[in-house]
Amino acid sequence: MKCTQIRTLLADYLNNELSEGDRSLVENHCAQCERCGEELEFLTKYITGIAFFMHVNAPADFNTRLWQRIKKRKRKKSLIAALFYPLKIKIPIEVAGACALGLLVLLLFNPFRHDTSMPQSMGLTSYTSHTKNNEALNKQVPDDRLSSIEINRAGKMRKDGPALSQDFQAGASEGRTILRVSKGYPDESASRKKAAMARSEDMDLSIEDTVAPKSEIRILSPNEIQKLKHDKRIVLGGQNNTSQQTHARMSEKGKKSDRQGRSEAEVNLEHLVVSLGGKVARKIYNAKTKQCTDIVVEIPSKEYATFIENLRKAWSVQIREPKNPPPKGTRVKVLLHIGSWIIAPSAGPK
Amino acid sequence: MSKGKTGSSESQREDFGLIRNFLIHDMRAFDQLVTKYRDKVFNLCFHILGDFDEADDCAQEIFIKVYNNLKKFRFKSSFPTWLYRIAVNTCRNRIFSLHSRINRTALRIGISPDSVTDHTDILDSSYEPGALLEKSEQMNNVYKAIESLPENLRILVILRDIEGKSYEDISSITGTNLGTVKSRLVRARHQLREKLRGVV
Repeated sequence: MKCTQIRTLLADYLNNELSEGDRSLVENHCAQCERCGEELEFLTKYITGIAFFMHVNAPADFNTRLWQRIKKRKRKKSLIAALFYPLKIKIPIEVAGACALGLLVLLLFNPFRHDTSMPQSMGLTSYTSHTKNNEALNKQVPDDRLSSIEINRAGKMRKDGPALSQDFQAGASEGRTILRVSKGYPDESASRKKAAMARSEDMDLSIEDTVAPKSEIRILSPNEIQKLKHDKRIVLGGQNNTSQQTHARMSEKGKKSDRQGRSEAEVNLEHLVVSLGGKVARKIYNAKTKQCTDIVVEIPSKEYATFIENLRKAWSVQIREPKNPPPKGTRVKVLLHIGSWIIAPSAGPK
Repeated sequence: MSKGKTGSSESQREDFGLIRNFLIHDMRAFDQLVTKYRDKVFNLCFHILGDFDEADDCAQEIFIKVYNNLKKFRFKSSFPTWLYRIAVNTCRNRIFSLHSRINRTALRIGISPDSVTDHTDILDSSYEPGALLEKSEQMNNVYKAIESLPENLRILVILRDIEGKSYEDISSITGTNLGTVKSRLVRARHQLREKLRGVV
């Protein structure tokens, strides 16, 4: 027998768990093999040492504490069982209850509700607020290069807010057209973004009042248009595509329009822009009326003065010029918001 | 031999009777089972974990598991084997879950063989073999050597040499083959011999 086989039997030998034959084999081998003899000697001492190992008893209050723990866990379990078991019955009921509660909360508070009305009407109060905001904006952002042009059909030009408000009020009562233009340049800075944010607040204010006439063309800043880029109503592309879509929309509603479906105001503006070497970049349509409410035009900056001049021929214009004029050779983006009535031929410029 | 078998069969009959009584909601039967085996379970936990408080907590956890799972007992194996299996697994889980804590408090688990000689200095104060046992230096050294064994070998040595379980029982308790149990025990003893060379 090999040493390794003998060593596996040594412990059993000491525990008297070997047969007589195996015992004699182990004894003979250990008598001849020094290493296995040492191993046996070690194991003898080891098992003797183990025999002196103390037996540690459990504490006297073991059972009492055990029962306390069992009862504590039972109470916890019973609470969970009361809430959730049987799963097949209680879980669906609880889910249904939670859904009902959620619906109730939704109906009561309606956190997703938002005002979808378009700024088709704008009144005196709201306009004043808008003017104040613009003044504040000009103070806060000195480098702002936005310009705001207010045009009315009476041919008057106003630069200050309150005066314009009076004119606006008069225009409202007389049914005149008021056109407001915000101008920006393609190279926008961080201050322009702030300005755009402020302007979006202005739009919210303008919705509030109801005194407003329907006579309004409002031109938005390029930043606002950028914010609206993902708006489904925005038609991107050239004039042909725009005209076709406009035509489709106008035909659906049976509105008066030219052969391509464009309103008179749109045609006039487009002709003016094209004649100045510019183009209509984007158009936005009102979801309800399907009429064009916003136009983004892009004209060479050198033609900007001519563009304004031509607008003044048909409307009175108020301009808030940017402090830093655009560099030569760049193109200017002008964003117009058009009131619904001006698209109708009967409400066209005098 | 026959006496032992008779004794164990009588004990088994008694255990089965207590379990059946417990299953018909006789809580006194469970109490009797606990009283009968608590010392053995506690002793096993103490030797595996090496800490009195941990052993106490672990032993209680084991009996709570027994209480919750006794309805799953199939009466095919002996109750002590089933109980020891739960105990060994719970102790193993406890060792793994307390691994970081054990390292922090320098409990006597997983101490490297190199540190056997300096072992006494870093022992947890809750258990000091020399103070508690006061038997012999030889026994103390053996104990330290056992504790320095890897966890799987240490459990085998404790079950075989301290608890006196048979190879078959150890195989059932640990869920390993009989041959594996034997070869691991040989390996464990060889490691012990190396650790105790010159000491024992």
